[in-house]
Amino acid sequence: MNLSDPGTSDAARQELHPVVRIGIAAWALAEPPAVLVTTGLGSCVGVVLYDDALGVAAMAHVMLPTASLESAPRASKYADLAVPFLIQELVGRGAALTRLRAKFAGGAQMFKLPGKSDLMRIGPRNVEAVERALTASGIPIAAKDCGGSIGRTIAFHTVDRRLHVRTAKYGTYVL
Amino acid sequence: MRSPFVWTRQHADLLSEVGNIGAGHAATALSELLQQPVRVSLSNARLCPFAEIAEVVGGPEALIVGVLIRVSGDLGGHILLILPPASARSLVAAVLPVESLGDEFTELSVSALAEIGNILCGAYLTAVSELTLRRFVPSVPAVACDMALSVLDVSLLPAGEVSDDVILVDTQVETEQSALKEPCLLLLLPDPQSFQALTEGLFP
Repeated sequence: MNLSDPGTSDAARQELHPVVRIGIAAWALAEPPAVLVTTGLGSCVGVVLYDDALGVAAMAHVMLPTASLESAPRASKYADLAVPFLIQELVGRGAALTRLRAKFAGGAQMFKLPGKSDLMRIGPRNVEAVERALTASGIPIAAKDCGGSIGRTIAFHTVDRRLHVRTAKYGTYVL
Repeated sequence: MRSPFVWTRQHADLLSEVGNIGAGHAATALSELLQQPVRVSLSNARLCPFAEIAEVVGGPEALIVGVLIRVSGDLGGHILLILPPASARSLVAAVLPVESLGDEFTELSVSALAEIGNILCGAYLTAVSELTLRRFVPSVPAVACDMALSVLDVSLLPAGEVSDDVILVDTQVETEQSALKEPCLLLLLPDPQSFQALTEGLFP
């Protein structure tokens, strides 16, 4: 797979732009020149918050809209907890709340099952929950690529604050 | 976070046996459909961390075809037939010889895959139902072809509500002749809330 410059070798690129990989329900924070990557988003949403001036960024691979059943939930798993949590972590690293922006992608409905089960609508519900949490925190949405029935792999480049979205069906595009 | 139940060696053995019996019936059904011998591996049941789930199907970005059935009734969960695209094509060719084998799956070949998934998963569930004396209501099958993790993630959600790992019973299915180019997988993912009901059915 090739998420950035096709002319550079993987090893050289890794040295220039260390890649930080984030698993399902996990999160990470990175500073320039790192690249934050999460793979295979289906109904999950990959949320990135970043300081537009400094480039410091945090990404979460959100799985569910709201925390309900768990007694000690992992913030990065839930849209409603992940957004305030990422803000707190970024501000702790010197980011300014007023300079924070958001980019996110995912929230697809991979399977079309009849009926309106909550489980099958989880992608759109995840997207709504992310948007609600961002609005509540007053963070502007700089870009998003959500919905449909496609899987997505995303890479956020802290250097130019661009979000590369790779899909199996429609190739790669940059937000 | 920790799982809401205690996972023991005994549970693994029991659910592996559930997988063996279910997949054995699924293999018989597939063998009848294809008119050729079908082999299944021993099933493996475990509590699988989310971080490792994609490795079971070849990595998070491997292109796979998934046929998903949501199970409700006495037991909630998901059952999936996972096919490498080459196997999905060869399987369609075996049951629909007139369908061409282009890169895109036609509507007819998607229907055929859904029906094959339905037959295999139905046979699997019937066997497990008889074994556990539990009544299952399967949904109609749905098909997706995309990156592995994106195809799987919806089936992890019930587990995700209570922990960061999922009960996974996986069995490899292969044919000796050409019908399946590469082995495919049958995955059973019981909801954590149903775990008790399932194991009680096995300890009457």
